[in-house]
Amino acid sequence: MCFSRIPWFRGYLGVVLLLMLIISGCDSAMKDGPTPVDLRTPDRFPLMTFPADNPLTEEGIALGERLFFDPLLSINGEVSCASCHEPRHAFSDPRPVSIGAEGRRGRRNAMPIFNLGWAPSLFWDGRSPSLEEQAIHPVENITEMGEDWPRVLEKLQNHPTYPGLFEAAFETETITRDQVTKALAQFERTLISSNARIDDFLNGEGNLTAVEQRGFDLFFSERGDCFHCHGTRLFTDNLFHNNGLEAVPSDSGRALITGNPAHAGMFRTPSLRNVEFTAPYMHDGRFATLEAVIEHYSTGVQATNNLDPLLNHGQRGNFTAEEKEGLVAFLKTLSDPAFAQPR
Amino acid sequence: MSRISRIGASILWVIVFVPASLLLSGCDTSDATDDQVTLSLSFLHFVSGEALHNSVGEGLAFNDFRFANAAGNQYEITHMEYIVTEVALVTAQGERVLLTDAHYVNLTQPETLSSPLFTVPFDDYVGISLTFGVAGEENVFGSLPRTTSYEGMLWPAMMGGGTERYHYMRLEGNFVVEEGTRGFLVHTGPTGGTDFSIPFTAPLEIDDSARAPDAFVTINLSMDVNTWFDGPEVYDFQTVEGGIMGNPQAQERLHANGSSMYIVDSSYGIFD
Ligand code: HEC
Ligand code: HEC
Repeated sequence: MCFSRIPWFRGYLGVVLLLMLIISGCDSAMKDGPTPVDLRTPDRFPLMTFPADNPLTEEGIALGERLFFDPLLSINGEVSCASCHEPRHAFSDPRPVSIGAEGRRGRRNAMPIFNLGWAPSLFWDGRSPSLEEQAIHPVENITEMGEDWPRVLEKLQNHPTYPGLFEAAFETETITRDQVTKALAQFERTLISSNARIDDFLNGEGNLTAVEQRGFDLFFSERGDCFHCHGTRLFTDNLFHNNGLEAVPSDSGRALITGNPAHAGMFRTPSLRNVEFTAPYMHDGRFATLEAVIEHYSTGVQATNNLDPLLNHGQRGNFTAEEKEGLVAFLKTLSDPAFAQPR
Repeated sequence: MSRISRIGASILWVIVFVPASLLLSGCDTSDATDDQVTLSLSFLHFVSGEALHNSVGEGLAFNDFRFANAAGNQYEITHMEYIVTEVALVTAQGERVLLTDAHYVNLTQPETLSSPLFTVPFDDYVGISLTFGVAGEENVFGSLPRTTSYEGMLWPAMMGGGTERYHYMRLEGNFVVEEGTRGFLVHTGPTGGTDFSIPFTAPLEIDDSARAPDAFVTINLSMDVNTWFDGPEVYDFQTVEGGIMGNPQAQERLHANGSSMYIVDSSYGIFD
């Protein structure tokens, strides 16, 4: 048929119909499937990147939250993720090293869980590349949940409510390990802490006391020099450093992963947000108080082969009593009490 | 055919054929015609002529005390990242053709050692220009993309004349002293709010062979780390202990030494 014989509106109609088809195609997919969530990240934070194969959905996040608190994932039904990542401690563990199912002790302090959507790698030594991959490990780690995945999946599949929840989140009847870890990762991505007094201050909406300001000034100076590692609005660079805890590291840290001896005793810089709630401190929980941590940076840094240059010079450290008091007070302005709540 | 039906038909054309041809052209490795040139930047780093890494970032020679500078400091590098902005080609008429607003380089992140591909009109280019760092009042929090990389370069307000800005470069390592080692921290940036960014230009020609549709040009920007230290004003780690973010004299010296921080050349290739 010749184009010129079609009345113009019919040509138009075809296009409109085509468009409607495309749009309704998206529409019906949205109605049946899980509900997408557009995560709002804080304005002053850097951009967060999301994995393309695990978009956030209401159903996925809710399922992840339920799994996080469920001891069903452990061998004896007694340990959940939250046993070592307690919400009121900003999802960290108040014990120096964690104790897993059947009383087995780990060798590192459990890290807090928040703002991890910005972390390019996970664990103290960065051995895991994503939240999805990370979530595989606690379940089968003998010092954590000590279970094996086929049994976890069987328990979930035979559970009265889980199959329906997985179907709502992932639109399949068979529950897989991939879905469990995706749901956990979705929930963890929503754990964002950004409402501390320091945020009001940096946004020009609040004040610091004179003591806190003294700590702030030192933290962001080259003599204190905390900000080069604990920087950005995340208060971490998420990179690996040796901060001089031991002359000869008893835990090789990053070197265990890279195989490079120059990386011995390097650990991923922790965020200092909520640090008031995450004692004890460092990868081995060696310091019980913030005062002890500040004393380390003041006079305790050990000379070691690969001590970070930022800590390896005479212009820093040896803080006065007022400066130490200021640093501790400043660190407490990074607390987000509404985040560190029992759930 | 009535005027209106012609409009209807052309709308159809636009809706169906334009996206289709876009889709098809997207599959090509290069969109260049023979009026255009496809090119990318490659950042290479050396110490006294010895490569710090290869062109894809492998074999990084960090954490090794094998380097020395003119002041006689024996040193290792542990960290090196920097920002270049306003990267442009310059035509014989003195016009600038912008390649990118900003590029972040980190020696431990191989993907940052080359830029994306740019397509520019073929022209009588005579040079390349860029700013090492971020110039003047452009250098304020939020002026660069909001990625964790750029944000890791933030320069506190207290040391930036009251405004939060960005470092230009963080070059860190340790050097040998009698009692062991000491850190050196070459953090260049807007000390006290002063603009120490470095405008850089170098001659660069792009010859006719780059016009072939499947040809591409790699512009190599080669930096010798000792350029910053060896002169005209010798920079001695011993005499500049600790940080220099509040030290305008050190910034000035590095600014003078670094004024020609890159050697520029180009190589030509063909897409497979
Ligand atoms: C028995 C205690 C324990 C249990 C149970 C546990 N964890 Fe952990 N978690 C730890 C410890 C200890 C570390 C740090 C280990 C390391 O770095 O080597 C950690 C690290 C992490 C991290 C890395 C955080 C970061 O900043 O890199 C994430 C995420 C995490 N756990 C999530 C989970 C999830 C999800 C579960 C449940 C499926 C879980 N954990 C169960 C103790 C535990
Ligand atoms: C060279 C980088 C670097 C610098 C500079 C630095 N830190 Fe740290 N910080 C780290 C790393 C890495 C760790 C974890 C080390 C470990 O566990 O072995 C850490 C741990 C901490 C912790 C414990 C957090 C926790 O959850 O366990 C606190 C508190 C802390 N630093 C505060 C400071 C303060 C205050 C300053 C400045 C006086 C400072 N840091 C300077 C890298 C650094």
